[in-house]
Amino acid sequence: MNSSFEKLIRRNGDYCLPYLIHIYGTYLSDGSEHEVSLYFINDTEDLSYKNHVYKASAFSYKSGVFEYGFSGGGTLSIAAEEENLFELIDAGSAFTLDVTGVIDEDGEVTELRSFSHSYGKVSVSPTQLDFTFDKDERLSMTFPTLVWSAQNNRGNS
Amino acid sequence: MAVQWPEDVNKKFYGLTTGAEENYVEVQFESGRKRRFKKNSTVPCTHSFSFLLKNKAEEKAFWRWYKEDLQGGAVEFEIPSILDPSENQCYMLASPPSVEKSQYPKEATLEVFES
Repeated sequence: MNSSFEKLIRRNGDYCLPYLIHIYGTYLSDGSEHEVSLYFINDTEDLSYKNHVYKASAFSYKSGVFEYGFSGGGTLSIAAEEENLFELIDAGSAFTLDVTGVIDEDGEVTELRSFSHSYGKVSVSPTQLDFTFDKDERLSMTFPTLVWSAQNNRGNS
Repeated sequence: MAVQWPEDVNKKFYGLTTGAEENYVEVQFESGRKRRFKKNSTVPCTHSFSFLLKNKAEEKAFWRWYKEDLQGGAVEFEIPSILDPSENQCYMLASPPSVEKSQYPKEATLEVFES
């Protein structure tokens, strides 16, 4: 299991629900490349963290199931208020979602490193965007290389 | 973007009821302690208050503001904070306004929450 996640569940009620997320990528428009870097927090107030202002926004992030320490994907539903997000999707460009932290009871941010997603599906409606991020594709391998050993695959080694 | 209160409608509010929104999600299993997780850093207050629409022009101005400026409650509006009038505060309508009585002055009631 992922160490950050373990840390989260060991704590008792110390954590609040707001997540800090960073969505970034590039898209082509008018023949030139535009960079998009958006910082959001699902809270009622903006938050400054590590020289970035996380804009109070309306979204819900849920992590997928971690397997063998690999990310199990996740889902993000976000209110369609940011035009740049539409442009990223409209251009079919690659982008990444990093969940950079979670707020604890004191208002401090606990940094998260393992919640990062790049591939998946998105459905668009006038009110919200629903992202479904895929799990790490190495988990689909018959013998995931990073967890394979002669011990756990005796019949096949 | 917040819209302003209509100029043609008075701000003599009365009958204030103040409450607050719930700000936690609870986790409880078959046995064991209840754990609560905070939803937001700030807890929005809710208010219900009334004011009198003295004549037809004022009532017309109020409904024009609700339908056109407030777009039927889709956007927020800014008035001096109900709890601390020295500062402005944005509110959203929790439900469509109601206007009672058939003769003027009519009593209008708004239910709002801090946005």
